[in-house]
Amino acid sequence: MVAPSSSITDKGAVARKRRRRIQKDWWGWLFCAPWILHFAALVVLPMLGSFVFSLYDFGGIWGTGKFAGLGNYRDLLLTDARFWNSLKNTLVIGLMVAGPGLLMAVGLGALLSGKTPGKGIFRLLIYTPSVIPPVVVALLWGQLLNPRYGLINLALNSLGVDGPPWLGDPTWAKWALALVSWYGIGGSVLGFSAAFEQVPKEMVEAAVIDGAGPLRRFFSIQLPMVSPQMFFFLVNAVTAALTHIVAPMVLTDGGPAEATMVWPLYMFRLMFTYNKFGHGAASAWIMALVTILFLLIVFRTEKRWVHYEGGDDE
Amino acid sequence: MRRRAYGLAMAITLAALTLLTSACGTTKNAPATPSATPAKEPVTVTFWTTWSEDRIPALNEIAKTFSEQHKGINVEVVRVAGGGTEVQKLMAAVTAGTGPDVYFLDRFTTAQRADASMLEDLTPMISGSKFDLNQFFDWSVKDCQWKGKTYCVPFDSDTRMLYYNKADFRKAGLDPEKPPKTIKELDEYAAKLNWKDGAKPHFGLIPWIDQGFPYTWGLAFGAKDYDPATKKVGLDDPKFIQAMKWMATYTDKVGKVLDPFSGDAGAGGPFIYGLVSMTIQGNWYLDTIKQYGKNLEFGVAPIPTADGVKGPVTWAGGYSLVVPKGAKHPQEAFEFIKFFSTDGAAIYQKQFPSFLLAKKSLLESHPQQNDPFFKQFLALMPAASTRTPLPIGALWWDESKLVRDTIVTGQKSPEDAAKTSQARVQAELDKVMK
Repeated sequence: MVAPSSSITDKGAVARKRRRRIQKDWWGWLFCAPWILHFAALVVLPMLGSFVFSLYDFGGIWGTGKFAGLGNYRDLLLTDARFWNSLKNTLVIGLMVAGPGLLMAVGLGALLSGKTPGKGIFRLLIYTPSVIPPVVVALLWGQLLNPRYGLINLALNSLGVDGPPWLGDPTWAKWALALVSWYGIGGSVLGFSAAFEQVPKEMVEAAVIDGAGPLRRFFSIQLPMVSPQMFFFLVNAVTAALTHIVAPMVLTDGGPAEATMVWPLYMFRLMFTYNKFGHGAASAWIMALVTILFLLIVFRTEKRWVHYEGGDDE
Repeated sequence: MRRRAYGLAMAITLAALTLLTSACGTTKNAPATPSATPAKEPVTVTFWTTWSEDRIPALNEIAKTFSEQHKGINVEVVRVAGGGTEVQKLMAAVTAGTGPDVYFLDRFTTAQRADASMLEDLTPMISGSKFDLNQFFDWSVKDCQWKGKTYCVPFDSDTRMLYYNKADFRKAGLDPEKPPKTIKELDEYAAKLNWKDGAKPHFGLIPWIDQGFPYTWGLAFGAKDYDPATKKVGLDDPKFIQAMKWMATYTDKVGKVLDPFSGDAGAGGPFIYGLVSMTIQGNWYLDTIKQYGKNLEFGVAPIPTADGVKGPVTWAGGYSLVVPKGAKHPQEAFEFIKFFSTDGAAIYQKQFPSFLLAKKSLLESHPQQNDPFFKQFLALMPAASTRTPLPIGALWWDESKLVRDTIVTGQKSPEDAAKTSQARVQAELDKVMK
């Protein structure tokens, strides 16, 4: 027969266990402290500050405006047609970047997986542009896209095709910005290349045995198996599209005729050109909410088309 | 052993935290060690300019001359990004309390920046030092005023005229000594000056390039940018819409593109490179022609006007000197501004003779007053128009350009484009003027 332990002994054991857990957690918090301080000071506080700014109508110098409540949000959403135009441009250009970008990343990733000759060199060449600063890339593309002496139109002209006016035309300017953005797909190509190599060989072999051809194997097995990578690409594409400012600012300044006036650029214009700081901050918060909404949509649809190797419970 | 590892990790973390927090501090915040006999230390006035690199030596010379004449005040000239309506660096600095003492501001934005509380009111210092603003052109001083207070001192200005290529005129059978005076003549001349140079098109006139802003052509058609009686901006003024309709007619020949040369007009611009026979440009363009088009045979003439509009018409822009809010040395800054806008302007004029300064007496002694081209720009100064100082100046300017861009690219009719922009700008102005 085992003597029951007394309540005093139980309390002592519980207290010791709590002390040990606190001691263990304390070390973890200490090591996380630098990052937490950084995050609080440089991310959370500015976000809160931005929200406070968005409730005031002021020209940029804090303390000189008046409280507007949700007035700035109302102005943007109900009366500012340029704001809606910038939202439309952001979405359209975002789709132009993400759609073909995804196709290119998947296609190149598939080609650069497995036993492809020169795979290493091609991966390096495709990835290298991603490390060039975006402003430099934009300036270089400005020269390439020149309708009269740029290499793009010279090449098109040599094929008997009249090159478009690119940055001088409202529609072509959008495609020009998308073209400039595709330089950064190198990282995604490497990701897809690795993802394709991770596709279980036994699944592919089983498909071969069952008589599936290359295209069938690609669309029915390999593509679904890299769908997590596609999901990751889409999440990044949404945030990239909604923060796309460098190329529009450097190449077109939102023109011609505001055809490439994207959201972040309009926010910059509100704050620093028109002295409507509160409205610019409100625009940033609206942008944040729209980003969250898009990401929620992407996450919600995840279960329908993203397949994980261990099953769809992940 | 585990305790030693924990101890080592703890020591490293604490050391890292110490380094991190000490990096946040600055030696500038450290209290000064009081000396036994405090002496008056020289003051350094920081002057920010967005002007191009080639102007900096002249500005440095002005700063140096000022310091020699004002012992105890040094001036540091700093070139910063921005210019025109782009003042983000100034705004961020003023908010952070690290702004300059003097800033070169595009004068027509003074009212807007003053309304946004970015600038110090110079009125007390002007009246206290009896600084005479009458020595500047009155329209330049009006640009500096908002709600009865003065926020800047004018520095330079400029005027605009029609430049025309005399050799092209002869080629087209036009008299090179008889430039167009009216819009009708301008259209007739332009039609005769359109041809193809091999595969390259050559245009008689592209109204919207160079200084052919909507405001420019609005003046040529008799439009007003603002009516103080009704407190309405003039983007839907029938004369302004007429000017925009006229501009749109040129898209038939030039195409629906804002830059038909796609930037391929070199450093001198399409006029110097023989791509267009007539263009609106400013007095500074005379220096550009000297640099890039020495052999160009050209003339200048007043901007042609529509029927019923009395010429000559031109408008003047220019920069001014302001003391941003929170400047550490406002008194010394104002001393520098007084010098810069007067004696400093004379120094600047020697280095850049094709520039027009806002100080009236400098025009009377201008080194180029006998130059056949420059004297025509000079003659326009007293009666030049200026953009009305409004607290939504930058928005108005951008919207007027948007009207032009939208019409030229064929996205809207002139009436729709003008009315849309008018509604937006007026709504903003009404809010501020309440």
